[in-house]
Amino acid sequence: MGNDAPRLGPRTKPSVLAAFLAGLALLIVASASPAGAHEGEEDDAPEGSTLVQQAIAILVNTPDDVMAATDKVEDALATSDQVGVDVDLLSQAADALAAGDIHEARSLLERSIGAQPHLNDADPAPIGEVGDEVATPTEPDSPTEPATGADPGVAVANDPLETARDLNGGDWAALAVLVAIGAAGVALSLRFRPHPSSVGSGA
Amino acid sequence: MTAASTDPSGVAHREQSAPASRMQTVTDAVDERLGLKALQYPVPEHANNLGWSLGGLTAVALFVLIGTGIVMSQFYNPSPAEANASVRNLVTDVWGGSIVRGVHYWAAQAMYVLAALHLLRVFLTGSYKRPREANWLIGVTMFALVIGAIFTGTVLKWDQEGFEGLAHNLELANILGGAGFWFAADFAPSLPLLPRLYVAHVAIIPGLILGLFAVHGALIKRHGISPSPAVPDGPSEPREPFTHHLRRLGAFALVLIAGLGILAVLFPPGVGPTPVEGIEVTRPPWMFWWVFELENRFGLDAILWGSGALFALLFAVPFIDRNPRRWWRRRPVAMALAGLVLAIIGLLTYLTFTTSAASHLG
Repeated sequence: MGNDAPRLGPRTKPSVLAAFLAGLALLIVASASPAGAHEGEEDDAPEGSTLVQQAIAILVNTPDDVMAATDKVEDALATSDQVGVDVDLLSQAADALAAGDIHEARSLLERSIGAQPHLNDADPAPIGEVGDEVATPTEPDSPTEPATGADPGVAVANDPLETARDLNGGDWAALAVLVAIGAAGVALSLRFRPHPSSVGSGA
Repeated sequence: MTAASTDPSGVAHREQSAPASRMQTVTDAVDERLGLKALQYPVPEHANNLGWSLGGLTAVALFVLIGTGIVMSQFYNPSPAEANASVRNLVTDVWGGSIVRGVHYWAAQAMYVLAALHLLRVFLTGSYKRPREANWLIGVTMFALVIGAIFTGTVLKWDQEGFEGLAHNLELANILGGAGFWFAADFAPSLPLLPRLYVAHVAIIPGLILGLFAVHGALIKRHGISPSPAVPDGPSEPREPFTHHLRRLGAFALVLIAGLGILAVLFPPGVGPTPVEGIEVTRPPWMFWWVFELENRFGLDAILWGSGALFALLFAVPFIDRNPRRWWRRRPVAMALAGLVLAIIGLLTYLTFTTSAASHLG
């Protein structure tokens, strides 16, 4: 700091306030820059198998966003680290995506990293547990390696579990009991309400 | 059958018109040993209003969460490779599991809403003013813990939504540096974060809430139920036994529990796909939408300064607002500021509601 720096004192409080506000504004502007959003992205190129897992997860979570999945597949084809990925199957998956066949693309992507192709809505597809009929990628990840830290575990994204369903007899019976309990609660709360002398309403 | 009467001191009683029943005999026997009649201390009548029962209803939601949580914990596997599947197993293969999980989910929503409404009621009626400042601070801390419980519970189902929440947790820990050590994976590198968050969800956070709840209740007992600004002559307001407050709270609780059960049957919560690292395609639960919008516009650290600013303001309320008046119409500055804060949170929440989650990708 040079001699030109303003001296701080009782008479310079507005200057201090202005400097503080300017600094705060700079901080907000700096943090509002696109680079500030969603930090934590790594500089190193991610592994091809990771990109494939991400492409599958995008197809599962946002099936309408084919473009994002395609980007991931193209990145996986372009990366130099393709250990654990069957590139031929990956290329076929890219073609299926381009043709708009999401189901086939997803199946090919899963097989390209040695995951069991999804068969139902319940089970995640473990990597490295493919059948003989499926091409095995080179050096697949070990499925027995325990997850640590923020590792999500060795699995490919499965389908969401939809719980909405038609009501059965048990559901209707439960609803009847619950409505009766609620009605009893309303009746009791009215019966036990305060005397009219209390006008406080809570607001 | 009972009949109501009021004694000269204003305490209302409901007298037994019949000779002591067996129930009365049992009650007397229990009281002789546990002193339950000590709960019959007088409280002002307005304590029985719904507005003054919101704190008690929040506690009811907490107990529902603990009960259903105990059941769910028998089937939950806090291993990253199995967590999502164990939640699905609870829903699809365990008898009543879907309803238990549904009640747990909706009770968490209810607890957040009830705690927020309770906080708002205390603010509107000036119940945090001297000598109740400490209890306000405890209440705000409990509210923060409720949010922490919802966050950890969201992560535990270990789907993409929960995992992305955890990823934000890790980034915030990095921003906090040493202060965020507990949330960082490096703190216990040989373990997954999931079981650590599980312990926080089922033991640390509920334990802290219960401990603070005990202190909260003790301070209410010490200072008495806060006066209602709507009752002009507080000291002459009729009194009723505290057990009558509990009785009406029990009636409200029946309505609450029935509502939670109905929601669990009609709208059971789903389970998302197993998580994958490195993508961001989901939105957090609705109570986090306002900070999510801040993050979208100002970056990850906006979560910290946004939520930090809100809670700093909440903690400072009793020390900023020195106006002795309690009636909200006599506190225009406090009401205007509260309205502004609520409007900002509401606007940010609405913006997230109307924005596609996919458009948040950087």
